[in-house]
Amino acid sequence: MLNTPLGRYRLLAYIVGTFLIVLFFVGIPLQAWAHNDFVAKYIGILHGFLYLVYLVACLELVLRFRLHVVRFLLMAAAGFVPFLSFVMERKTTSYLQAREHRLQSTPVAASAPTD
Amino acid sequence: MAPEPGRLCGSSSTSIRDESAGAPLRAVLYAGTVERVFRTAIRLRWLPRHVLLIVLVTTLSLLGRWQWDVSESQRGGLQNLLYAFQWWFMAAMVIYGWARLLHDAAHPKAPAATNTIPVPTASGSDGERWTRRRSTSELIDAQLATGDSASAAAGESDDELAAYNDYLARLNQRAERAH
Repeated sequence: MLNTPLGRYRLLAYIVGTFLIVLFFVGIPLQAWAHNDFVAKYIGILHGFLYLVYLVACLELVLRFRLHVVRFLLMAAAGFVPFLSFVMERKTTSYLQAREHRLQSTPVAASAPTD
Repeated sequence: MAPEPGRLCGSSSTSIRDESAGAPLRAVLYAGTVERVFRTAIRLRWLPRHVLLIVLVTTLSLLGRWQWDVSESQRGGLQNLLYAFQWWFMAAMVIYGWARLLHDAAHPKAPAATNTIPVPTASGSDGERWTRRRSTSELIDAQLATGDSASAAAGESDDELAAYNDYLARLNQRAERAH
């Protein structure tokens, strides 16, 4: 899973998404109503660093496969919007798989127009 | 120059860019690299990316500086110091992405562009959901990368190869003028 840019991106999307859900639905309520800062503070720092690693993985994937900048912005936003990382992981994976399948089934030279 | 026996039977590797016989090959390749990157960078379509680079790097660096100052103040602490380094790391990532894009645009046949999904072609772009206009030079690059130049260089004479290279250069010039 860690051998390809897509695999690294997918793994980090799951990890960051899970940390974000813990932060949002455990840490923030504890901080707001129980006045217990512990979870919010340390999960927050951990999420901050994992988010940077996740951004590196996103950048690598986007540069390698020449994905659109809107997709990159959505992938970056998925690191701090709860549940969005799981949605974007599914969408990007299925998009890349469909693209690879299409490239393998059709000859590449025939698709390039002759100006 | 007297023809070598290897050239006649066509078994030796025909290098497209092999005119300078005496110069060290590495120096020639390096000079070509700098020139190609520079030529790509001064194209008009790269201007917004340069502006974006400067704006983003300046903003991110100043944000890091701000957190650095907070960390040294009374209310700040170790967490703000870590935030400062995170902002600066993001600035470095922006520079890396810019350099990588520039390098790949200047070297269409670089190994980074050919992967599991082989070549960025018209059908291979991320264009169904968010459409992006593909330039003519990119399409030509894609044609080149799929092996048109390799098949041309395989069994033909050097004259035909030179004519083909001239043709490609003219195509490239026309594509660059179109922008």
